[in-house]
Amino acid sequence: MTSSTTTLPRPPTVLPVRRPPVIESAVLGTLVAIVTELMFFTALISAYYVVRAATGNTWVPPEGVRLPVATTGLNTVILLLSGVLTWRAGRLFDDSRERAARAFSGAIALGAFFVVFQGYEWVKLIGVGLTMSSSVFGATFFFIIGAHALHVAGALIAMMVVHHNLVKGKLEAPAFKAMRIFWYFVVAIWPVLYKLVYFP
Amino acid sequence: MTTTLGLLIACAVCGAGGNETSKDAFAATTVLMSAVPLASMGLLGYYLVKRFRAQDPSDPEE
Repeated sequence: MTSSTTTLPRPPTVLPVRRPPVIESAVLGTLVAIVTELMFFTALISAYYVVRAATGNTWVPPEGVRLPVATTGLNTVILLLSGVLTWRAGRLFDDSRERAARAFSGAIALGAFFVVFQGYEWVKLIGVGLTMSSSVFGATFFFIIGAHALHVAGALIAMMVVHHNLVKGKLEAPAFKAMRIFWYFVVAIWPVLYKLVYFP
Repeated sequence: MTTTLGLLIACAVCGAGGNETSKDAFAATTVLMSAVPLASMGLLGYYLVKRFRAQDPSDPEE
């Protein structure tokens, strides 16, 4: 009795070519988050328009209240400068982490100034009687501006963590890029809200 | 659009429909809220496809 075994030729070993990721996970996650944030702010803006339209032509601050248009305009410039410094930090990241950290700390400082100054303006407005419950105008004003201020404050906390990692040399490029993208969004949405709320 | 406004102002909670400005605001924001999610998701998808196509497949990950 003979046993014959047939040996099939082994297919050539072909290792799959792994393509690099199309986009870093941190950046993709941030972009998806920004899409949802965009929808959130669009909903706020839409609600503002509908409520304002429902009041007819009487959409003005309550008597005795003047919105700080000029000072908030200046604050807007400061926030935009913070965005510019963030962009600068991104440009410097590959060449000099130290200089990038310096530019980024400037961006954080300007962002912090923005949110503290907003708080100061709020205290003054509340002092003259504009509150969430004083009128529909007050409610929409504080809700829209407050929603943005919360985003600024949250982003600043994240930026401080990123800055800490940058100084310690533990920060990876995608994480820094993701942080910058989110800050650009927070900075870019502000002039739209400023125009909407402060120039009714 | 104007022919569908009668349906749009059926919204019971927003108070739209009280006047012409209100109708216009409601119609405009309906368009805005419909377009922004589609546009933003579309742009993100387009960006990802563009990045994928721009990649050189012969340049494997290390």
